[in-house]
This record gives sequence, structure tokens and C-alpha cells, in this order.
Amino acid sequence: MGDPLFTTQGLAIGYRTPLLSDISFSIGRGEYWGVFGPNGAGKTTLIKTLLGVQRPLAGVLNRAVGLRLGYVPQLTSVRESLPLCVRQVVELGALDLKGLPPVGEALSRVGLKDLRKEPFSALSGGQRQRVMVARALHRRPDVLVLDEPTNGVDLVTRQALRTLMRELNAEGVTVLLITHLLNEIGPEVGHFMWLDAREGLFLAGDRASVLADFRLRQAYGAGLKAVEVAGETVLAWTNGEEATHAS
Amino acid sequence: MLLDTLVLVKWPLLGAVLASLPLAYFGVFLLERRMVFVSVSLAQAALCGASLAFFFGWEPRLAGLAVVGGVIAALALRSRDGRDALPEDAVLGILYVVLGGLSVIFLSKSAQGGLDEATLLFGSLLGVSPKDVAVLAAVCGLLFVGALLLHKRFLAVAFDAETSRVLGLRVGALELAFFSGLGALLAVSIGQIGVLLSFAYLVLPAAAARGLAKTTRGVFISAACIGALGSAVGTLASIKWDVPTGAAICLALAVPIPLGLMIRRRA
Repeated sequence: MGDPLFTTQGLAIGYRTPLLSDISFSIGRGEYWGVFGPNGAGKTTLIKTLLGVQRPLAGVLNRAVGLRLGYVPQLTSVRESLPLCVRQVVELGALDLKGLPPVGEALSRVGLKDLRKEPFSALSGGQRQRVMVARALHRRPDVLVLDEPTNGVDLVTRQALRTLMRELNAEGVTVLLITHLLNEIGPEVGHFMWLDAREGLFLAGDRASVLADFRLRQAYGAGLKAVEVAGETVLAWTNGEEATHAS
Repeated sequence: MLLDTLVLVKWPLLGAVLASLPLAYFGVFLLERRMVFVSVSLAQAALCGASLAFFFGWEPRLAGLAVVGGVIAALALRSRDGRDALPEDAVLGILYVVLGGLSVIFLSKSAQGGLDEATLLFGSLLGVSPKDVAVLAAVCGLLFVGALLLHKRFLAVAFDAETSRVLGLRVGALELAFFSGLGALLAVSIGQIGVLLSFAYLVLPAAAARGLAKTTRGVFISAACIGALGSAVGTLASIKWDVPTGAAICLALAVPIPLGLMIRRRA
């Protein structure tokens, strides 16, 4: 594990009353984490707490000093009607930083350099999502946090984003991918957080140990089963709709 | 003839144009953020403050400012986690009704004989004096400096408050600065041009500009131009046809809106 960027011990998160308690984990530099849970599981609350937007209700949370964050929110939290062009959107994500490379560099990375003068509101959902990723990349982040980045985007964009995240991680960027879709978490995701506030469940660690944890089976009962596919252990919902590699 | 008319109404016209510029600026943000009702409630708070001042014999602008400040503080202190007992629009609606009721009661019991709510509601633009314009100019100057310093941050928060928070922008402080500036402006402008015209400057130029211009800069400049031009056209029209000036300006400001909507639809 690289040097720890986030460490928690006995953390309790929530609004006024704890949604989840006794959360302990450590995220090291250069790791790729998938944060999974159904809707309402507490994923966003946990990430907001981790990023310092929300105060923990109890416990210890340590964040490495001088950490530069890149954050890609859900598109629904963005006011798309504002008359901003693509370049402005990217620039607005780095008002606190100076000496950054030109905006075009980050836009090139997501394949949108030619659209920098276009109004943000005129772009497709997939293009908007890529602009939001470019906005985060423009900051040259140590940690990139993506909140449901593939919601409402087409298959091609989804695949392109996944490839980009893999490349960034290979370059040393720590990635935290939040999703409620198990099949969004590919084999490149080495670490896993599985949370479900309704079940009081929080598991964190390397993907194999999390997926093998008996508490997961206890919580989901007959809903999950481990199957062998092409020599790999695969965790599948019993309805067979979603699956992910367990090792 | 036109020049003579303009000389005659130079102070009211200057006051209207001065008020229109910052109000149009705030209006662009409020419209895009769907927060127009906040401005109505702040305007009502300023009106209530002025009514309170007439009742007790205080300075109307200061009292208006005080009540607006109280409302802003109350809104700012509310929990931001969306789990309040009442949704924000309901709170604003309650404030609007309660402050409006208080205004009527204070005015009805006020010692100012001829003063009624209609005077405050519609203002008396033609009664604007050089001193009023100087006060307005001072407030506009301060707001201009504030906007120069904070404009990009206001845009960042308006576009994506969540990420702004994550990236360390002090969103609460920026919101407080924005609404305090708006509140101060309303407290001054309502005393001179009335609630209706102040509200018209907030909403109408911004509504027209979002159809007429495509860029951020274009929208802000168009809104300011529509506000200033509408003031001039409305004032001159009111003199020519002998109709109330504030109402004439309101109508003049509404004229470009259909044009903006048509252009927006075709784009």
C-alpha cells in the first residue's frame, strides 16, 4: 500500500443521527477504490465526510496534508442552464490554483478539445460528463473522486471513461469510483467499499476479501452467489443481471 | 424638446439607471438558480422595515436594511442538509405573507398621514433627489467592487455548489456576501423606486437577456443594457403619455422578453 491519504477509525457518518457507524479503513496513494452500495446506502454521505464537506458524527478521520482533489459530481447537481462555455466550466473548477497548464490539455484528454468554445448546455449528456472529468483533471489531482460518472451516458462514453480512469490510475492518481451498479466496477478496481446503511453494513479492503466476507452473504442472503466463470470467481446476483469479478 | 424632458427628469432617470445595473446583475444569477422568490421575500422584508420605520419614526433605509439582514441571517442559519421541517419555498412563502401583513399593519397605524402601502410598493421615482442618487451610487460602487472580486466565485457556486464545497470554496460565506449585497441594494432601491420596479429590474432584463445572448458576458451585458434602456424609454414614455413612471418602465422592460424567447427557441 502507498502512503495513506485517508485513514478513518471508528467513524460515524450521517445527518444529526448516524447513518453508518464504526467505519475504519485506509486509502493509500495510487490505489483504485470502488465504493459500492444500493441507492440510499450512504455512499455520498461517506464521500462528503471524507472530502471534508460534512463533519463526522464520531470517530477519527485523517487526511494527508496538501492533498489536491479532483471531484466529478453527479450531473444532476450541476446547473446546466447557466450560459457557460466548455472552457469556462473547466476553468471554474480550479479557481483556487495558479500555474496550471492550458485548459485544452485536460479537454484533449477527454477528446473534447475542439468543443472548448461551445456552450456547455448545448452538449450531449455524455459530452457534459466528459467536460466534468476534464474539469477535475485540469487541477492535476492526487485523488480523483467520481460520483456515479456513468449515470445517463452512452455505452461508448462509459467505456472511454473507464479506460481513462485506468490510465490515470496507472499514472499514479488515486481513484475513488462511487457507483450503485456492481457491473461498473471492473477488474482494474483493486479495492472495494461495500456499504448499505439499511443493513448496517460496511466492508472495506481488497476486492477479494470484501467479496468473500461472510457478512456480505449474511446481509444479502440468497441475493448473491459466487460462481466460477472462465477460471475466475465471479459474484453474481441470483437474478443473474449483474456480476463482477471477485479475483 | 427631448433634451428639455431629459433635463427635467435627469435625477429620477439617473436613479433608475443606477438601480437597474446591479439589480440586473443579481437578477441573472437569481433567474438561473431559480431563486427569484428569494428576491421577492427580501423586497418584502425591506418594505416591512420601511413600514416599521414610519411607525416608529426611524430612518426607513436603515430599518429596511435591518429587517433584510434579519431575514438573510434566518435563511443562512437554516440547516443545509435539506431535512428541515419545511421546504425552502414554503419558508419564503411564509416570510412573504407575514412580512407583507406586518407592513400593512405598521403603515395603517403610522403617523404619516398620506403614506400608504401603494407609495412604497410603486415608489415615487419622479421624487428621486440628487441625495438619493448619491446614496444609490455609493451602494452601486461598493457592489461593483464586490462583483469584480467575487464574480468568478459566484459563477462557480451557481454552476456547481457541491464541487465548490469539495474544492474548498467557502460557499456559505459567498452566499452570504451575495444575498447581503442584494439585500442592501433592495433596502436602498425600494425607498426610491418602490418594490415593483426593483423586482422588475431583477427579473425582466435577466429573462430577456438569457434569450438574446449566448455567452456569460453577453447575458450580463445584455441584461444591464435592457435595464438601462428600459428605464430611459419607460421614463420618456411616462412623460409623453402622462402615465406613472415606475409602471411605464416595468412595461418597457418586458418588451424584449418575447423577442428573447423567440431567439432562444430558434437557436
